[in-house]
Formats: sequence, C-alpha cells, structure tokens
Amino acid sequence: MGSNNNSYEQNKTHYNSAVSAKNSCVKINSTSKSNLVRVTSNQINNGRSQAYKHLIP
Amino acid sequence: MFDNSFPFTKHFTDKFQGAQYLKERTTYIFKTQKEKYHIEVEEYLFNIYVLKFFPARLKKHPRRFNVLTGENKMGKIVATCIQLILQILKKNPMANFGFLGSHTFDPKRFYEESKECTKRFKIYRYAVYNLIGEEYFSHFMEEKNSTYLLVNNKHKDVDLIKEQANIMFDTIFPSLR
Repeated sequence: MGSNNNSYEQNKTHYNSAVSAKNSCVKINSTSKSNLVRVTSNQINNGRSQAYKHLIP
Repeated sequence: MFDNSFPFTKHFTDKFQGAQYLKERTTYIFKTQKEKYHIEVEEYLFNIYVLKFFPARLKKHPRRFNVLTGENKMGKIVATCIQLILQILKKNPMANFGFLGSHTFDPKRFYEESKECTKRFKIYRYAVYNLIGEEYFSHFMEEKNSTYLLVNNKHKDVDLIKEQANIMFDTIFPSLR
C-alpha cells in the first residue's frame, strides 16, 4: 500500500507540474514560417475613418 | 459599417487537455435573416484567443471559412466578433487576439483568391484600425499570410507573446504550413 501511495503521489506531482508548466506558458522553442511585424501608428491612423471612435482605446 | 452587431449566445465549450497549444474552444451562435452562424473562440497558450466564424450549415465542410454566402452582412458580423472580444476581455483582461482572413473560394465562378492580403483580411484589419486603438493593444500583422495579432499591453514582454504566436500560428492556421 505504501509504495502504491508513493507511486500515486509521484504521478500526481508529475501531472501537476506538467499542468503548471502549461498554464504558466513555458516558452516554446521552435522555428516558424509566420513572421508577424508591428503595425505602426501611422498605418493605423492612415487606414481608419474619422467616422469611428475606438471601442477599445 | 460596424455600428450594429447581432446578439449572440454561448453554445458550449470543449476542453483540450492533451493538445499541443489549444486549451479550449467555445462556440457561440448568432443568427442573421438568412443564416445561423457559429463563432469558435479558441484559447491557446499565452492567453491567445483566435476567433473563427462560419455558417452553421457548413460546420463540417472543409471550405467553411472560404465560401461566400452573398448576404452582404460582413460589417455587422465583424462588429459581432468585436463585441465578443469585449466580452472575453472582461473575463480575461490579459487576453490577446489573433485572426486570419481566409481566402475566398467560389466554385461557381471557378475562382480561388490568393492567400496574400485577402479581401476578408482587409475588412477585418479595417475594423481593427477603426475600433481598437494602441493604448490597450500592440498591433502586429503579416500581409503575406493575411494574419493579424493584437497583443495586450498588460504583458511585460509583448515581443515574446508575438514570437510565441508566430510559432503557434503555423499550427492554428494550417494554410500557413
């Protein structure tokens, strides 16, 4: 019973640390084809109409 | 163009415990005069939420994001998605948002649009430029793939979120692979 309990605790700890890592968003190391670039204030201002007010400032 | 939205309701949530990046997908429903639509809000790592919508009747169709309905309700549909973004932000003030403007596929006209700077992408970007400023979000885009990312400025390292989104977008949007 004791060893079973230890095994259960080890698995639980391992599972919890995995869940914790996922929730804390550990950095993903990989290459990507996507290449997002920052949109400038000028691009935003030139691309919008005066008719609208920002819903989110 | 974006002044009015459709009322929407939450339908259900699927959790994805074993998935690589995806945490959960919540489906919302709204109705126009002609169609019922689904909006799928997918929550990924790093508080990244991706919104996808399509006519409910095409739920299982592989081209559900690419077809034209001919309803001319795009402005009101996009405004509905923006209202949903506001609701998500209330629930999670750290939320970041991403989207892809799918290319149009019209089998009746034998027409398939290029994936670069699509018509949908231009409309979504116009909505974002007009309705979402730079105080709350940093804006990123890639015209080549018609993708856009809003990174919440509450995050300490905005560029880290952007880099992680770059990696995840390859999986989130299979058309980029």
